[in-house]
Amino acid sequence: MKHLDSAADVDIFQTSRAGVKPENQDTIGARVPEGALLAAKGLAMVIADGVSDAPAAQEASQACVTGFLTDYFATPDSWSVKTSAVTVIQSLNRWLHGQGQSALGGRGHLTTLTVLIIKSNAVHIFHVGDTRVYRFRHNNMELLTRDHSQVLSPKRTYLSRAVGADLSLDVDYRLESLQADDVFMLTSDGIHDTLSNRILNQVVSTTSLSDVPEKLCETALAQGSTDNVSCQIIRINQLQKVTAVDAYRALKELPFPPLLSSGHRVDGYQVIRELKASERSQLYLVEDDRRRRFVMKTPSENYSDDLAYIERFVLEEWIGCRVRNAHVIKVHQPYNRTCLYTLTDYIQGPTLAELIAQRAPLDIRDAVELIEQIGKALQAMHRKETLHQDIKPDNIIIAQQGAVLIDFGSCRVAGIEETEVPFQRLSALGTVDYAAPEYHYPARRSERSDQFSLAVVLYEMLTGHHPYGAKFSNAKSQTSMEQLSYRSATEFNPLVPPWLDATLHKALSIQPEQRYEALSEFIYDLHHPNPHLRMPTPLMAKHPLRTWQAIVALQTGIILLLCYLLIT
Amino acid sequence: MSSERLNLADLSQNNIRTLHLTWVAFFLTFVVWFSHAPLKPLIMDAFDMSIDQWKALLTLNVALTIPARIVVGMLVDRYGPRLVFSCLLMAGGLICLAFASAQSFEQLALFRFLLGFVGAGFVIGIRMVGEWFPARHVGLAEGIYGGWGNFGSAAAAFILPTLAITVFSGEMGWRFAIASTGVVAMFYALFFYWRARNTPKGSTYFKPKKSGGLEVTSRRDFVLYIAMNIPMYVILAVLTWKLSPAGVELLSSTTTRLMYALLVGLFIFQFIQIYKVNRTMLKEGAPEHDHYPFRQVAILNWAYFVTFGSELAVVSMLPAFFLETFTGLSLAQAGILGAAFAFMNLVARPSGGWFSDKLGRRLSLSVLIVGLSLGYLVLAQIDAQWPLALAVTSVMVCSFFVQAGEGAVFAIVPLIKRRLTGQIAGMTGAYGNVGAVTFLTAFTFVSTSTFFLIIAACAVIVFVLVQFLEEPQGHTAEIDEHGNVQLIEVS
Repeated sequence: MKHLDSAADVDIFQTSRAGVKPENQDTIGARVPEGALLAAKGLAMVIADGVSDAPAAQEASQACVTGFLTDYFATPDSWSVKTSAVTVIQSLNRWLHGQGQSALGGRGHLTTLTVLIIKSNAVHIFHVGDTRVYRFRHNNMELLTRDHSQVLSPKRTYLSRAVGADLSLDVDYRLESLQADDVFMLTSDGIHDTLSNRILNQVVSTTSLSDVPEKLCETALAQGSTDNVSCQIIRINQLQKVTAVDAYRALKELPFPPLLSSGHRVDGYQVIRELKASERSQLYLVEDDRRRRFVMKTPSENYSDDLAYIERFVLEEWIGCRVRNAHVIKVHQPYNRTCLYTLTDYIQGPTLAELIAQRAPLDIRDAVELIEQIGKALQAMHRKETLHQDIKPDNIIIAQQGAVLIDFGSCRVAGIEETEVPFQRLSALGTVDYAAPEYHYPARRSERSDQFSLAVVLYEMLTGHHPYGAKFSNAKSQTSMEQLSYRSATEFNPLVPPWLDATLHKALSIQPEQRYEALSEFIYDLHHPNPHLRMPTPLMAKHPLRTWQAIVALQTGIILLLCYLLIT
Repeated sequence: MSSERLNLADLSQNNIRTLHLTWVAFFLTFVVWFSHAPLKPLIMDAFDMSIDQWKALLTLNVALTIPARIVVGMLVDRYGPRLVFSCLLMAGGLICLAFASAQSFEQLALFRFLLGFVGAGFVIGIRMVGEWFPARHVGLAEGIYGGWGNFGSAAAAFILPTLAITVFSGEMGWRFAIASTGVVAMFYALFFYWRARNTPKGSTYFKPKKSGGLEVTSRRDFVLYIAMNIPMYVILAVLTWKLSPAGVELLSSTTTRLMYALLVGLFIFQFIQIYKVNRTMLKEGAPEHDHYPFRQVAILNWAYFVTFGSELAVVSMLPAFFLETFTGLSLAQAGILGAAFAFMNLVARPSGGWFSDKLGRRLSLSVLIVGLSLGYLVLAQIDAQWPLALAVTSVMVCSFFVQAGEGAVFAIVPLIKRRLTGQIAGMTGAYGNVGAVTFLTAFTFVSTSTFFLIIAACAVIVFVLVQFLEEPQGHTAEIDEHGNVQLIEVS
């Protein structure tokens, strides 16, 4: 994803001193990567203040800062900043907590932790404890974090939250947009407990930025700070904006290949034949010098100047190289490449759509097994914080090794979605009949949206129908969606057991909140009748007494009517 | 869908079926739209019309199409081509029935005016065919759609006179003939809705298509774009004036003023739409790489003005022209000869695209426009002394150049700015209708031979404009003797 690369134009200055204490338990650190890593993860500044009462305060703060700066940049680049940072902080917390609990010479590892990450045009702040982040914008100083401390008496405050204190940890998260010339400052309590806001603001606004950390530490110590003093400061000289020109150049670097015919060779791959062509792309069967077969997908000329389309196209390979699973199509990267295409395994076998056309309704056991395999493929993608967004029978190939999910053309990758681009990305992707209701109106999309599509596919395999009928594709608003009613799968296929229908019904809820919380629960319920799901039961079984009462009442009415007729 | 050639007989393929369904729908709109032209003497007799009134009727027929295209385009965005095409055919059929049963010239004029809406069918099918065909075939598929559909006017000229005189005979014959086209259209509307689908099943679709204004990339182009919209309104204003008490007195002076106000309102509405789309560009300018010269669009617009515009105008008047020039022709024979013009559609339009691909864009368009200009010069000379066969031959040759020219214009449209192809095509198509209204309005003022001369003169001007067309650039692929594909950048 070269078009997202940019250079960071920031200045960072920092300093940390022990002060009057014998040991410096504060740790500070920053990392500004380059190129693709900067585009994917942004830059990070971390400050940690080991809790003095804990025996291993210094170790804890050092482990936290170095651990964070290493692990954060090693998270999958498809993850969003929030997922990446929170995951890393949680694991650091568990590790520190474990150190403290260890029976043999266990010593309390407690520290505060405040992290500032700048990616694209946003600032992400993660915060535990009483270290702080200030923002200076247009000569206004603003505190962006809230101290996690309790005041017991004017002289005694206790930290109410710290990394390493407990197995579970709540991390404060704050997202702010970035402006050019913004200045952010991270400080430990040695500074901000001693110096008033007025002095802080005064020092920052009157001193040249490179001297601010030193000056603040000196001032704090001069005013009698008894703690370690640390300060980091960063100025955003220019936003890390991907300019339209850069993005265009990067995305247009590779030309579109022309329409190919059998016999043509591209980068050493010989075209055997065209497999499929649509308004958006062409698929060819190709063979390399060692007679290995692949599928080559080339973009359609119709989109040669559509940057959003090209980004999607490039993204397919990017995702394919990051998700490895037996049920996800394998993407190959060619050695030298002169034009734009993606190369995947050639899998022989019918698509699920063809299978449904020939054999629907499918055997229930087979259908569930195939769905389970696609479910695994989806879980592999979801672990990378990637939504497939286009689960449909056409995108599933039934091969010897089972079902294989193909086509990442509609995927949503959290880590990429965060990066601003100078063109309009498409938001509604996928296929009308299979996309979850929330794609038809502005609403949050999640893993549950893929769950919906997967359930539509299962429903279709079992019945040959759509669970909401033809009206589904015409419903364009939330209200019209909510008016649709689910048609029980047993109506079309009497072999579908009611508990399986109930499982489908839950996964196919119009409201995402009513679906399964996790895909794994849905898959589990496909095998195990779930007694908690409400199943459609006959009235007789639900209210036997009242049913009989109603029948008797009706009978009485008829008898009385007949008597009346007889008399008159 | 794996074949590299388009096999039109393979009805097992969904996209081929869709193509046939769609061009037939378009064909029927053309039949309904031009059903009156070959029946001129019958209709004129029935209403005791003057020739001026008849010519006004011809012009009215194409007037509403210009604004209707905008409306239909927006409806297609909202409801999809399947529903809109069905409704258009249904409405067209109903209006056609109303036209067939009209009792006065005013009613006749009103229903002809409303039938102009049917002429906007083109836009719908183009969108549909575009969704169904891959890049390799889409040009040819749209050529077939357009060419075979346009042939509908020839079919009307062929069949309707016979239908009116032989089959239904009698005083009411023409009414039944026209009504029957309406009935067919209505039945087909139902059939189309039953069989056609908006997109291939399971296709990745549903991005909202932007309608309204076209994006331009510089302030100068913005001005030019606005200027290019003015002729559409001017010609409608001229037409209104022609129909006002100052002309054929079809409209009262109040209605006339109302029409003028409506036109101004429409222009303001469109201006706002265009401004909205281009607001950011006007303030901040467009990025360098996104630039495209709007001049190219304007030139193609005028080229379509003289090609498709003249075709619509000529098919409206040609059957009557034959009937009046050559004595001793029956109405049916005149109709068939008049159909000669639209007949060439079947091959000419696709050939135009082919020339353009093979011989270069500007060259082929220039040659075709010179050809049609000469063709119209020849048509202007036709009189009763000419042998009939020669007259028909010259009509067919001239029409070949006209329709090949249309094909050549649409071969260039997608190359200007891929991203905006739909909108550029829409505007070009609209200019075809502006041409029709212009030429037919001119026809209401002048004799037939002057009418042909006017078209020829316009063609000469367009020829000069076409010389300013730029050949499109980009990467070109070369394939060597081993089949290796190499990409060469053209700068």
